[in-house]
Amino acid sequence: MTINDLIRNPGEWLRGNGEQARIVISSRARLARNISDFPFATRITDEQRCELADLLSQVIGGVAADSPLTYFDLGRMTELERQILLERHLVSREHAGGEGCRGVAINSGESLSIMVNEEDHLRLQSLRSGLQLEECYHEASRLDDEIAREMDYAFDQEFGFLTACPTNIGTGLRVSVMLHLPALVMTRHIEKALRAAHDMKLAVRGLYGEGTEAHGELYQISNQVTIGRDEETIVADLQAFIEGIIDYELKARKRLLQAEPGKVKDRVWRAYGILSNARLMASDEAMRLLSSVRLGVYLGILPEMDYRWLNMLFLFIQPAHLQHMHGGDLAPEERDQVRAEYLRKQFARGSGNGNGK
Amino acid sequence: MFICEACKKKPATVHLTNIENNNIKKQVHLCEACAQKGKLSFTFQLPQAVMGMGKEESDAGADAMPELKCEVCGVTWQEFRSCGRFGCANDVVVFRDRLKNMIGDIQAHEFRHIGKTPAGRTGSGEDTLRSSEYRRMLREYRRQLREAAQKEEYERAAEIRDRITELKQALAGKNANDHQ
Repeated sequence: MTINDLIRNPGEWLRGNGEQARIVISSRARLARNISDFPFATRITDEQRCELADLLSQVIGGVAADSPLTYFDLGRMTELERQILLERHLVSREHAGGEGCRGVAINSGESLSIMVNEEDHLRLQSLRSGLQLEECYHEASRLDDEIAREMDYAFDQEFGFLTACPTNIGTGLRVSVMLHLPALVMTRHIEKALRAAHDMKLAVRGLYGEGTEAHGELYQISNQVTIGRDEETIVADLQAFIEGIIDYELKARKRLLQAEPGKVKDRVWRAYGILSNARLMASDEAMRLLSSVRLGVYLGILPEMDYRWLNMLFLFIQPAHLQHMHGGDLAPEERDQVRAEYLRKQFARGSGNGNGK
Repeated sequence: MFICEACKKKPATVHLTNIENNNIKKQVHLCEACAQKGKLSFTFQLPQAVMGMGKEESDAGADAMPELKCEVCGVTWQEFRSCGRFGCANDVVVFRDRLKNMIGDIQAHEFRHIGKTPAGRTGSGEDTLRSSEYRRMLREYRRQLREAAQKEEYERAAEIRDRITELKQALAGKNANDHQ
């Protein structure tokens, strides 16, 4: 699989067919691991990093998997290709922007990605659509076991899996869910929800992880505790909390329509109108409007649209995807034009073909 | 003079300002105790090193303690505290006791790992050693394979690849036995 093959076929996690896919966009489980004989990221030399990347890419290549993983050397990619991987949540911002020998192994469905030489030597990730936390964890864990049989992980009886940052030590497990919460935002209950998350020792972030804003009313909720609890408990605790938030959001949506139908319908139809007709569209605004459309579809205000199509739109309007689709780099103003054109065409065509192309 | 926003009792000595796009978005004022306990809203993401600051000084007491340093990677306790990153797998061994306190603070509860252990480490001590040895050999072979490929010594590379396959099978066989 080449990088172009990957780009042409957006990942499984956008399919929009998992549990609760109308509120939960995707679920993710990530395991952080280091190899015992090599220094960690802050102390490893460039040469050792290359040696380790080579070693790990060999091991990963040999892993028995239903869908084999292809290793991509991040240093050999164009900036645009790295950004595309970032927009698909296959690499982190640090990894895309990093230096030295590093890479990522990805399977053809994009449900598995393994970052090599990021903050830790290995970051195994399973990514799925909707609420599928348990499945994500089990898949990542299986992959972890395969690699553990061939490599010596840095591990301590008391502190568990050793990670570069103490916030990951122990299980090295970060499970997270991306949610669309427009009603909680509109009814101003979002702060309450976020405080509840904080009380449960869960972190809440915007679309692209640490320190980002909640564009498009999309929130990522993840565990913060990684030690002193076993993996199954961490997953179950997050699952339980997310189910509560989903319930909270659904109730808020109902109330919203009952309390302020005129306002909601106007907001939804305006969004639809602008997306269908604008000649310039910045990505922030596009996210905001698509969020309203998504809500409108759920509430039955807009005609039925495929959630997969909506998910695809929201990926393809991201800067790197847009430029790749267009066939080259674009200056910001050009991007806004191309984005607007893409959206107009998509809305004119409707969600019929379901694949956002 | 500010009073701590969290406990509303003690004077605030920790003042946090969230700045976005050159605009001051929010200010929070906390006393030291509440700041350490992490009583901040979700919008603040403090580096963990800052979170634990202050407690270390009070622990150290009047006498200067000998500087703890990892003999493998050279990271000192101070370095670790200021950048919040371990340098290698040996750090936890060297910093063990101080870490127990610190992790308790960061993750705010029981620190001991009770989750899974690395696969392939089950079985008796002797078995574990042998698996470890196999893995070490595998690593060495892979290193040689890389060299052979770089030097375009294709026959040698093919031989090494065969040895790797054999070793992987032996390791898999061992693991199957361990699980029975």
